[in-house]
Amino acid sequence: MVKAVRGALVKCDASIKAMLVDIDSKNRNDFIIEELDEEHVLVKETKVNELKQRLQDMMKARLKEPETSDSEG
Amino acid sequence: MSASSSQALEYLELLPRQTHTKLYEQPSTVLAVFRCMLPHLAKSIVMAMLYMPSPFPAADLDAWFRPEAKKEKEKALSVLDQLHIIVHRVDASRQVSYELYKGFQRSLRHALEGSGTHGSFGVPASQPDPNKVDVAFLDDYARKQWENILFYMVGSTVGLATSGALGQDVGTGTKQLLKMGDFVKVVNGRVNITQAGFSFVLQDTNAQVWSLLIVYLRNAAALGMSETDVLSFLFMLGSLELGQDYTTSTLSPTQLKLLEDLSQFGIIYRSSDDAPTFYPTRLATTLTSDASALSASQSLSTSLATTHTDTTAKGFIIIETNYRLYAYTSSLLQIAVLSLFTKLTTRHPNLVSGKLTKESITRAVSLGISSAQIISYLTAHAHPQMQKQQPFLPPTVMDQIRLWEYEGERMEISTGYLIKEFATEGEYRDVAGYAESLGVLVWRNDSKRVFFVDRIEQVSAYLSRKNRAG
Amino acid sequence: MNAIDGTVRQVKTDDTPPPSLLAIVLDTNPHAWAHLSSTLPLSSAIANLLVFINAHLASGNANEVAVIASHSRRAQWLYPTPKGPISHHPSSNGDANGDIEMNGVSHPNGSTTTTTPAKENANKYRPFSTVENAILSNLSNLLSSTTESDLASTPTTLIGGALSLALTHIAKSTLLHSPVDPLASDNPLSALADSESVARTQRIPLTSRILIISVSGDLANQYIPVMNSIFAAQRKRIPIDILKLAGDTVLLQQASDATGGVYMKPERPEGLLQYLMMAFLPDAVARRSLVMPSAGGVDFRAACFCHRKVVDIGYVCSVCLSIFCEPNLPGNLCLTCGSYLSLRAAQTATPALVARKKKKRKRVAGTDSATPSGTPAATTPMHP
Repeated sequence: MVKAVRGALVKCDASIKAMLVDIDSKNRNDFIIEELDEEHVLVKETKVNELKQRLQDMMKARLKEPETSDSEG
Repeated sequence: MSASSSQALEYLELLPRQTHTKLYEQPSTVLAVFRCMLPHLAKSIVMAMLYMPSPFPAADLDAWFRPEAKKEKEKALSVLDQLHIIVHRVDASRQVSYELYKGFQRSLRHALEGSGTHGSFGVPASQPDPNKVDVAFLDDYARKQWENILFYMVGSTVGLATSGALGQDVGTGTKQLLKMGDFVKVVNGRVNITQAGFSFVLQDTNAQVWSLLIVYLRNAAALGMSETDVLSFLFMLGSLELGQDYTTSTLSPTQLKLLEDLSQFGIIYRSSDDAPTFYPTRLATTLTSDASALSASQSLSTSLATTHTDTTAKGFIIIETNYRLYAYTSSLLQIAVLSLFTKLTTRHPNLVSGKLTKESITRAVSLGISSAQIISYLTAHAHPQMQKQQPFLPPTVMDQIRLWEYEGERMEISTGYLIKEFATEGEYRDVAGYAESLGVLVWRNDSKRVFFVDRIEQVSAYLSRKNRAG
Repeated sequence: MNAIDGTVRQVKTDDTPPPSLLAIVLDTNPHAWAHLSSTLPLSSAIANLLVFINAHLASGNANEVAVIASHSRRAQWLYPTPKGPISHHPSSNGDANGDIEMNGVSHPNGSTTTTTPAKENANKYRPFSTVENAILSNLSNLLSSTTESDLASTPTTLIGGALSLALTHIAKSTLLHSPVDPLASDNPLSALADSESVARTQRIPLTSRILIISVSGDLANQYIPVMNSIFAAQRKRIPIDILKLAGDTVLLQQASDATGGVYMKPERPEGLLQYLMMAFLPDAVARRSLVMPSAGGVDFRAACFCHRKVVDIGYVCSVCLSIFCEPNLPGNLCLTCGSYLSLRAAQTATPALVARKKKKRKRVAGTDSATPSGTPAATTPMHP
């Protein structure tokens, strides 16, 4: 029988997906409904914004921003 | 179909069938729906069926279309289905055929033949108006009213010196509406524009009018108005003639109330609040037409965008490949909009100049403006000199704006439904193919037999039809 | 992100179909309509045509229409109304002047002024009623100004003049619509005509087509002007659609075939509106997705320049390619270009060559049965 699941499809890099899965596993699997493939994850619709925020925090903590390129201003 | 009418179409599609049936009683509404809501091929289908004495067999319809146009055909049929314009019939020998809904068919025939006694195309005033106004006055009036609304929204966010004086001409009803539509937020008496508001400001005028009116429609019930009444009046406005005065005596109380609000937006003009006549302005008469297709209204959307002192008839923005931007404008509104995503540096009497920087773009993105909006705004207002090239904007600049946006946005999110657990490969392929032809398919994975759609109504209807048939 | 490719930079193009101009040539030949009066009187044909015009105007917001009557001795504008006083006598030279100044060529959303004040009718969409009133009043002017001597003088209609008027109008409107800047984009009409590749410098934002509603039979006497119009239309990529309600003529079949238009000859003329709505309403954009009726087998025979007869085998001037039906030219000079042309010699000197060619053609034409019913099998293919 065909089933339909409501949710938000998140399309991203494999690297970003790894981070999403990481966030999910540290939060009692509260975000992800299903991992679809390398680049697609199905996420609970209500949690999308929170997930986005957490991802941004994570990125900020882990990534060094390259030099701000405003030299030719 | 322009962006503006697709917005209205989206709204219309979600209305229930009863509302559609009621709407289609008015020939003017039917004509407007036909003229601007339907995809091009859907128009051909409707017209072919309009005077057909018997239902149109699906097999004949298939034969009429070229095989390579199957996708377009499905799309046209699905819109017609959603708007409750055509109905499927299955007869005793299981032959599928299509038929127009009777109400729609009757009204469209009335509209084309000019028959009937519905009077839905507006009753012109019988007495000549002593204070008759001309088209130029109406354009001026509409522009001023609409610009005031935009000023009210943008003004305080970008910190214009005169922001205190802004928005004084905007009626309280309009302010209320902007708040309800989530275009602005009032925090401590200060008006702050929201993400939706930014998208609103960057749209073309026609789309802006529709956005505002759709908010109005959504809240019509709360204001004690019937949605259908309001909607059919708006469609009637779209079929009126510019510069002609129309009598208010034939309007219903709801519509009279509506008139007051619409004159606040600048969509219609009345010499006084209890005047027996009203004039539609160009904002009204282009409601149901393609702004881009009409040269007359095009000059409006640009004249709305620029001030009277500005003599540039068309675009005014020049962008160089080094991201420098020059805008020949002295309109505060334009400068305010530009400053949303540009680092403006100098201002001259008729020119502002600045630069698109990573900082300015990411700030705009964090405010909720998308790179596509910025690019389409810049394209729409490109200086005639820029328009000599194709594309108008330097490709490097367009690419860079997008890349800057993607740097901050690492996920692409679409909400909808995941459809899975198909029993057979054939069933999966069939349903996924159907979803694709409808244009609702977002993603599919053939090996796992799952796909994702952003709208499910028609797909589930298709599935249940299939189950019943199978 | 893999999916994001910064080089995808196509500007979001407006998929709105371009405005479409429909020039209708209505054959008002009184003789032919008199024949049809039992099945389809002119009045009901006009009523159906008006609904069709409204449907066309409704199909696109910037769509335009032009209607020309091809009458017995002149071609007359029905819409837009020509400026200046309409003469109430048939003009002496019979042919309408091509460079009439017209009003109402601007945009269709009102502001068109007609000679008759449009009646205010709240049941009718204003642009529709403007067009309707203009057509009806101009048509009644035309009919009332037709004298008996006009009727007696000729049994046919001036289709050539009307076609030229339609083409000039389309050319003018196209100029008015052409964009400020040339956009290097494909021409939406390019798929329609199969003519030689004309260097297209800019996209034509206005797509035009001509619809001829024809009731008259033999039009061979206007072979040259009509053929010239056909070639002009082909060059400009304007499809000529033909709705043949009565009569039969090879000329119009060739017109629709050469320009990629629709050809229809309904068995019974009563269902006029349904034919119009289904076959002739879709514009160039819609036609790309639809299967349109065409003439099928087309009779490509030409008419001779000397007697306006449709000929199976003719004689062709080697200089100007004029066609003659018999070799006896006065003074052995070509009637068109005046160069020396001894056809009798051609006929007597190499009869074998002509005969062989003829036979070959005959067989080809016979096997693929390209000729419509009622015409002899021998054809002289003259596909341009």
